[in-house]
Amino acid sequence: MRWIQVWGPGLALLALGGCKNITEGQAEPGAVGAGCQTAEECTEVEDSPTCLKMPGGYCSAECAGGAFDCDDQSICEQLGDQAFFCLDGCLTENGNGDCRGDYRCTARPEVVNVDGREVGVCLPKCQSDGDCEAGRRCDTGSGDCIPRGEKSTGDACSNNAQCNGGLCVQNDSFRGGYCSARCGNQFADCEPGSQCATLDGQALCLDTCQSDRDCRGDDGYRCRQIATRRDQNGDAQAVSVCVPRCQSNDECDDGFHCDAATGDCQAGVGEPNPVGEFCGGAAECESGECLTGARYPNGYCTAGCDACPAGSVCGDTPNGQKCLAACDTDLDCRAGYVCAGGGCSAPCQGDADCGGGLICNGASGRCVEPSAAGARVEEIDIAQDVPVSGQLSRELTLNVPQGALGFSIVATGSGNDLMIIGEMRDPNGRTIYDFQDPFGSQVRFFPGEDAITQMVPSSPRSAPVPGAYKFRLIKDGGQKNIDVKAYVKIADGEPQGGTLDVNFFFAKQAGLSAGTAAGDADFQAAVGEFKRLYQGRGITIGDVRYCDMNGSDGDRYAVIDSVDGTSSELSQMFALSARAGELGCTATPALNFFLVDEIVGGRAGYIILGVSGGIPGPPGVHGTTHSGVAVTMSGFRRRPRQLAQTMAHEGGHFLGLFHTTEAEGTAFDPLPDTPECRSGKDANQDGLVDYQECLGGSGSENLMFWAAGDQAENVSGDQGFVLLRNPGVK
Amino acid sequence: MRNLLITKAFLLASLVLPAVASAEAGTVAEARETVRQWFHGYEFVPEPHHYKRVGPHLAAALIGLALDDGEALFVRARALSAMVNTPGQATEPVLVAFAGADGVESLLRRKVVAVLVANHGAKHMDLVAGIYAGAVDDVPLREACARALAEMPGDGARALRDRLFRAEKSPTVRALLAPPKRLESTP
Repeated sequence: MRWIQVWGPGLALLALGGCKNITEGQAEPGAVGAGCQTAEECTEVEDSPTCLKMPGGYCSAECAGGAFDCDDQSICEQLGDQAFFCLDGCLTENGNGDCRGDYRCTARPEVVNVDGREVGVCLPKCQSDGDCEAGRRCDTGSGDCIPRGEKSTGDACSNNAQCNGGLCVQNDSFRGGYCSARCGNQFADCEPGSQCATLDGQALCLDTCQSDRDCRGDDGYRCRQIATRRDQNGDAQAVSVCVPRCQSNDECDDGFHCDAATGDCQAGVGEPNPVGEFCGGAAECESGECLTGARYPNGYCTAGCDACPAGSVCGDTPNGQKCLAACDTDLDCRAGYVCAGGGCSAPCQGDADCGGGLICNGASGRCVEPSAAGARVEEIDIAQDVPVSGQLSRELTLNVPQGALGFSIVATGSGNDLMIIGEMRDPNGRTIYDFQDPFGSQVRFFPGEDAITQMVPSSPRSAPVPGAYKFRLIKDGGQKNIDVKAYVKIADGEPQGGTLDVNFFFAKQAGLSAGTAAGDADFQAAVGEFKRLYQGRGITIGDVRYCDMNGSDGDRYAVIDSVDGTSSELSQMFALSARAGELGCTATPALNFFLVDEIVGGRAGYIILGVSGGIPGPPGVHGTTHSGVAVTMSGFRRRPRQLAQTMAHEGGHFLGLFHTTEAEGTAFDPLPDTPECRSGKDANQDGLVDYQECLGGSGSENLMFWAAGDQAENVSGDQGFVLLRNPGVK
Repeated sequence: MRNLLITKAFLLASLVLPAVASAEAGTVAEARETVRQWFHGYEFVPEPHHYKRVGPHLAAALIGLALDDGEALFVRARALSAMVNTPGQATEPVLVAFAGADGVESLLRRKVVAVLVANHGAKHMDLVAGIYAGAVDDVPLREACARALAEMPGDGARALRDRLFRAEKSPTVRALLAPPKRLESTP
C-alpha cells in the first residue's frame, strides 16, 4: 500500500485513501511542476489547472491545504500569503535533479514518503535569504538554500560554510578570518548586531561595537566609527564596527600612513617614502625629491636617474628623466597613475604632453600612436563541448594578439542555468577575476543564462595585454557542454572613435512602425538625442535600420510579460534577431533595440523602462536569447528625450557599463573616474540614494546612474574607454 | 474628460483619506517625492519593504502621482501598480474611478485592471469586463483584462472567460482566456 505520513506538532496522520508516492524524476510535460505559458498547457493536471507565474511557468492547481489534496506526485502548500497550490514533489537525496533547471528541491522533513525517503517540493531557486526557510540562507551562486553556519559576523573563520552570512573574508588584512556577508542592493540585510559598510570598495556586513574591547584585538581588530544615525528620539548615535588594524602603509590610501600604535591610517607621512610613493614635500621622500602639482596627485617621490634604487626604473617625465616605480601594468601603480614604459607615470592630459607624433589617450592617460585605420574584429573559436558544472571547468586559453583593444568571451549552452567565468588569469599569471571575490577582482563579470558574454577590459586598469589569458567556467545545475568563442577587437593604435550600427525592431504599437519611424518627428527626436549622447564619447551611430516583428510576433511582444529564463518573452524576442535580415534590418553586426509598448518587471504590472540582454551583451551577434536591448515605448511622444536616455543607458549596459551607483548606495561600477553616491547621501532615510540626493557632482548626472533624470547624461572618460573597446563598436 | 476623472478621483480620495488630506499635507508631499524618485529607476523595482518604510502616507502619495497629468506616463503607471502595496479602502475608489473614466491612456488602464484583481479578487469583475469590451482595437489592454480574469477565482470569472474566448481573435489574448484542458476521467 502506498501511503504518506505528515508529522505535525504532536500529530501523525495516516492516509487511508488518496495514496501518494513521490518518485524520482522531473515533472512530465503538462503535469504539476512542468513549464507552461498558459494553463491550457497543463494537460496532466486534473482539477482546475493553472499556470503559476514562476520562472518558465509552473503547472499547478489550487488545493485546500490538506495533505492529500493533490495527486500522488505533488504536495499542497501555501505560497507566501497567497492561496494553496499543488507543488511538484521531489526526493531530496537527488539534490535538485528531480526539479527543472531554475528550481531547487526544498526539503519538507515533516512529510515522510511511502518508502521512507525524505521528500521536498520544487520551488524556484532563491535569489536572496528571504526566499529561504528559517535557519538557511541563499547561496546566490547555486540558487540553493543552504544551512547557515554557526558563527556570527565578526567571528574568526576558515571557510564560508562556518559563517551565518555565508562569507568568510580571509586576506592579509582580515587576520584569522572574519565572518561576514555581502550586503546592499541585491543582497540581504545584515544579521542583527552587524552593519553594512563599504570597505575597500566592497559592501560587507561588519560586526558592530562600542569600543575596542568588543573586537578581536588579539587578531588585530579595533572598533572604528563609520557613521552616525538618528535614534527614535532624533539624537545622533555613533555607528561603529570592528575593522582590521592596518599593519603597513600599503594598506592605507594615498596621503595616509599606518600608525602602528592605533592601527589607523593617519594623514601624512610616517617614515620618509620610497620612489613612487606619495609626498607633500622633499622631506617626505627617502631620496629628498618630491614631484608635486596637478600632474602628480598626492605628490610623487622620485630621484635622479644616476642611481635609481631597487624597484624603480628610469623614465621620461615632464621634469626630465627621473626614477619611477617599476610596473608591469596599471594595477602595480597608485591610483591616478598609469604604467607606461615600465614605470608608474603621471597620466598625460593632452597631446602637448606627448612627443614624437604620439597623441594622448584621454581615457588611459598614455601617449600612443594614433590609429591609422579602423579597428577589426577577429572571431576565435576557443573550444566546443566543454563540460561545465558546479566545479571550475578545465582551463581554457585565449591568445590575445598584439594590438588588442578589448575582447569578449561568449559561452553558450547552459540553458536556464546561470553560468560565469569562475576565474581568469592574465598573461602575467595575475588572477584578474575570482568568482569568490567578485568585487575585489580587477575585471567585473556578470553571470547569465544560456549565452553569457564576459568582456575585458572593465576599466582602464584592466586593459588587455598581449599573451595567453587562461580562464575556467562554472555554472549551477548539472553538467552541460558549453561552446566558447571570443571576439577580439584589434587596431594598430588607440581608437579615436568608433561606429555602432543599430537595428530597431518594432513590436505592434499605436502609430509607430518600421514604415513610419523614419518620418516620425517624435521618434527621430529621440534617435537624434541618442546619437548625441554617444557622440560625446566618440561613438558615431552608423547604419540605422528599422524592421517590424511581423505576424503574431508583433502582438505577442507588444507587452513583455516575462523577463527571466530562456523561455521568457524577453529572451524569445531577442532570439528573433536571428531573422534580422529577413525582416528588413541588417544581419551584419549591430546593436538590436527592441521597441515594445511596455516591459512588465514587477507585481501588478509594474513596468521597467528597459532591459539589456547582458552586461555586456554578445557583441554584434544576432540570434541568441541575449542579442539585444528592450525598451518601453508607452508615453514616449511626450518625452522623447526620456526614451533617448533609456536607449543610451541600456545600450551602455549592452556595451559593458555597469550602474555607477546602485539604488542603495552600497555597490558601484569598477571605474575609477565615475562618482559614487554613497548611502550617506540618503537624506530622506528611505534606504535609497535617489537622483535628487545625488546631484551636485555626487553621481546622478551620469548616464549610468541607476535612475533617470534631466541631467543624467554624462559619460566619463573611463566609460568611453570601455565603450570604445567593445568588439561590437567598429 | 481627464479633468472629470481627476475631479472624481480626488473627491473619492478625499472621502477616504481625511487625515491625509488635511492635517499632514507636508508629509504627504514628502512621501510623494520619495516614491516619485524611486519611479525614475530604469530597471529598479521597489520591494514591499521599501513601501513599508514610507509609512502611512503611501496611499495618498501614490494617488497624487497617479492623478497628476504633468507626471511622466511611466511614473503614473508605476504609481498605480504600486497600489498593490496599499490594498485598503484608500486606493480602491481611485482605481474604480480610473477604470470607469474615458480618455485614460491604455497603459494606465492596464495597471488599474492588474491592481484591482490583485487587491480585490473578483469583486470588480464587471468593471474589468466592461474595459475589455471597450478595448476593441487595443490588444494590450484586452491582454491585461484577460490576464486579470484568469487570476480571478470563481465560476463567474470562468464563465466570463469562456464567453470572451469564443469571440476573441487575437492569439495572444485567446491563450489567456482559453479554458483549461481536462483529462478524460478513467474508470
